[in-house]
Amino acid sequence: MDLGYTEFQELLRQAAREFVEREGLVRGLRELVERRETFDEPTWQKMAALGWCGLLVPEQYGGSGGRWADMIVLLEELGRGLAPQHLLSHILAGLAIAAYGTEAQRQALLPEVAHGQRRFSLAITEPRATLDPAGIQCRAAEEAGAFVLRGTKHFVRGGSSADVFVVVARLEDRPALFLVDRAAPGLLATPLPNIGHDDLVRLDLTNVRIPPGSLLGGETHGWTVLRAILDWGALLECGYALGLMAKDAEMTVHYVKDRTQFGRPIGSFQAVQHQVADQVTDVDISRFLTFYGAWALDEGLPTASTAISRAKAWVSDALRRVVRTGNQLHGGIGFSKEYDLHLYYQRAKTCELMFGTADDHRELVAVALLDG
Amino acid sequence: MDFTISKDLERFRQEIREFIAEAWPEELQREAHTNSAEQYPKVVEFRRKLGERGWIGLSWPKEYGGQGRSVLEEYVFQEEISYYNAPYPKVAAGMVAPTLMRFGSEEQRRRFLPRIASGEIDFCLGYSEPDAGSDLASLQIRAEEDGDVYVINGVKRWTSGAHRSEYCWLAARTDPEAPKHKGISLFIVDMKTPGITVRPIETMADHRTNETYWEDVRVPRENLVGEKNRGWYYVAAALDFERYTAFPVGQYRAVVDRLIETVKKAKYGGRRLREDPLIRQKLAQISIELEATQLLSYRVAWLISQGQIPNYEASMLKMFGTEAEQRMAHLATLIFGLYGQLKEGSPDAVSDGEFEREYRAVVMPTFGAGANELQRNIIATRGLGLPRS
Repeated sequence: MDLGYTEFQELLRQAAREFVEREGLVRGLRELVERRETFDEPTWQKMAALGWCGLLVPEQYGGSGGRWADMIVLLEELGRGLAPQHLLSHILAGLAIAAYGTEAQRQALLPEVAHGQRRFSLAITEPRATLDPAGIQCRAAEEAGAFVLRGTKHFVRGGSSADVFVVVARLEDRPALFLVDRAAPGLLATPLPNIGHDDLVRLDLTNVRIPPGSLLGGETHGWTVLRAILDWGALLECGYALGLMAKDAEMTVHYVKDRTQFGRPIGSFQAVQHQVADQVTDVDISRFLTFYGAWALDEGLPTASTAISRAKAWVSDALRRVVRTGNQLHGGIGFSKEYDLHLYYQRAKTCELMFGTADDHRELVAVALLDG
Repeated sequence: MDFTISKDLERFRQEIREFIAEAWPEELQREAHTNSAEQYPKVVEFRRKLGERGWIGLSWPKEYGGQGRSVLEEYVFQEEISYYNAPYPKVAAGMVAPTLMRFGSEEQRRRFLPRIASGEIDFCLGYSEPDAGSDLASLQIRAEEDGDVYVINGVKRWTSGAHRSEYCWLAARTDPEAPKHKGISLFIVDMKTPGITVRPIETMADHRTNETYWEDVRVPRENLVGEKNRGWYYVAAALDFERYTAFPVGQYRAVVDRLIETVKKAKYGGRRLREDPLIRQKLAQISIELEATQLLSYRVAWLISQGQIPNYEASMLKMFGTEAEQRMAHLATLIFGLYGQLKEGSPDAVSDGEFEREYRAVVMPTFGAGANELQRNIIATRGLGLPRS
C-alpha cells in the first residue's frame, strides 16, 4: 500500500498547475462566458502541446501510455483551473477508439487523438437520458454500401468544436460505434446553453450517410460497451470534480482566515470552522474514492465498475455540499460575478449530472450488492 | 496511489481470522457488547490466548517483549479483532504500554509490560469526571502526597471496565494552584486497593459503564508515571499512539455485511425488500460511506507506517466514521420499516434485533472519545490552520 504519488505524477501535477496559473484558465473561462463562446483554439493547442490529450493513449500510438491514476492527478489540476471540459470528451472518444477500433483504425486515429490535431467528441446519451440499452435508440442501417444514421444524441460535450464524433448507435439491434465527421450532411449540432458554461450540443442525425470504414472495429459489440464508456466517463468526471471541489474549499479557507467581522477573522468562529472541516472531509473522501476507482481500473479488478460508481455517487453529492458551503461562507462577495467562486458553484452542477447522477450510480452499486 | 495489500498481509489476516473463529466463536461475538462482569472470565481466557501468540504487543519493540511487527500488521490485526467483536486490552496495550515505554521507569516497564503482553491484565481508563468531559483538563480528583504514597480522593465517571479490569490508568490533580494543564499527574492504580467503590451505570446501549468513588485511596509513589504534574502531556501523547484505532471500521463493516445479507433474504408478505428502489438507494449509500471510512482508516495507518503522526487525519476518520455509522443504523432500521423497531427476543425481530440495538449503540461514539465538535475544531485549526476561537 502506498498512498503517496509517483515522481511522474508529481511532475505532471506541477506542470499542469503552472500551466493553469500562467494561462489564467479561470480568467479564460470568464472571457468565453462574456463572448458567449465555449471554445478557444489557442488554449486547445497549448493543452495538446503539453501531451494531455494523449496521456492515456498507448505509447505505440503516440501517447504517453499513462495509467488512470496519472489521469486523475492531471484532471484534478484541470478541475482546479476550470479547464475546458471538452478535453474530457476528446479523451473519452480516444478510449473508445483504442478499445473498439481495428488495429488500422487505432494506428490512423490514435496519434491524432494524442496530438490533438483533430478534436474528437463522444456522443452516447440520447433524449431518454438513461445509461441502459433502452437509452440507445439512434439507429444505423446499411444502405447502398454505406451506413445511414438516424436519431438524436443529446448533451454531447465538445459538440461545438469537435471535428469528429464517435457516435454510439444500434446496428441490427446491437451497439456499434461510428466515426462521424462534423461536416457530414444531415448532421445538425445545436448548442445547449448550460449552467456550467460547458460546450454541450444536441446532435440531430437525419439520414447521415457515412462510409463503411466508419464502423469502429468493423463490427457490433456487446452491451458491456455502455458500461465501459460509463466507467471511463464517470471516472474522468470524478477527477475533474475533485479538483473543482478542492480549489473551492481552498478558496474558502483562505477567505475565512482573511475576512474579519466582530473584530476577528470569521474563521475563528466554530460555526465556520465546522463547515470548513466538513468541506475538507468531503474533498478528502472524494480523493480516496476516485483514486481507488482508478487503481481498481488500472489493476483490471472485476470490482472496478462498482468502485467507480461509488466514487461518482459520492463525488456528485460532495460537490454540491462543498460549493454550497463555499458560497455560504463567502457571503455577498461570492455571490457577485466579479469573484470567481460562482463559476465553481455553477460548473459543479455539470459534473454532478454528467455520466450518472448520485442516484444512478447508487442503483449500480445496489446491483452489485444485491443482485449477484 | 496504490491500494494493494501484500500477500503476506493477507495471509496474516487469514491466520488471525482462523484463530478468532476458534477462540472467540459467534455466541461470544454476539454478547460482547454488554461488557458484563459474567463474561469477563471468557474475556481473560481469550486475552491470554492472544498473549500466548504474542499478538498483544504485536508492534511493540522486541526489547520490551513485543514482536516488532509493522504498523500495517498491527492495523490488520486490530481490524479483524474489531470485525469479530473480539476482546483486546485496548487501554493496557494501546495506551499504558506505549506510555510506559516512552515515559515510564524501567521498574514500571518490568512490572507491567510482561503482564500486559501475556494477557494477564487490562486497565480501565480513569479520565472523565462528572464535571470533566470534553474539558478533561479541568478534572478535579485530588492526588495528595503523603510520604511514600499519593492519597486519591474524588469521583470518576464513565470508568468503563472498572468492574472488570485489574488496574486503573488514572489522571488526577497533583497541583491545584497551577494552571489546569500543568497540575495533572498519571497513576497506575491496583483496582483492589481499599477505598475504591464501583457503581454500575447501565447505558441505553445495554452496555455497562461505571461511576467510581475514590476515598483515601493510597497509591505507592512507584506508581506515578513519569514526572509529577506532567500528566497532561502524557495524556496527549497517548492519544497519538492509538490514532489508527480512532474508529473501529472492522466492527462497522461486520454490521453492514450482515445488513446486506439480511436485506437480500428479507421478504415480508411476499414483498422482497431487495427489489424496492428506495431501499436499494439506502443500502448503496451505506456501502459507499463504509468504503469511504475504510479508505480514511487506511490513510491513518499508512501515515503512521511512514513514520508520520496524523493529527487532523485521525480526527477526520473518527468524526466521519462515527457519523456514517449513525446514519447506517438509522437507515438499517428504516429499511425494515415497522420490523426495525423489534428487539431481540421478539417474534419477527430482524437479525436477532441487531440493528435495533445498533441504533441505540451509535448514539455514544459521536460524543465519546473526543466529541465530534472538538474533532471538527481540530480539523479546522490543526488541519487547515484556521485561528482558534
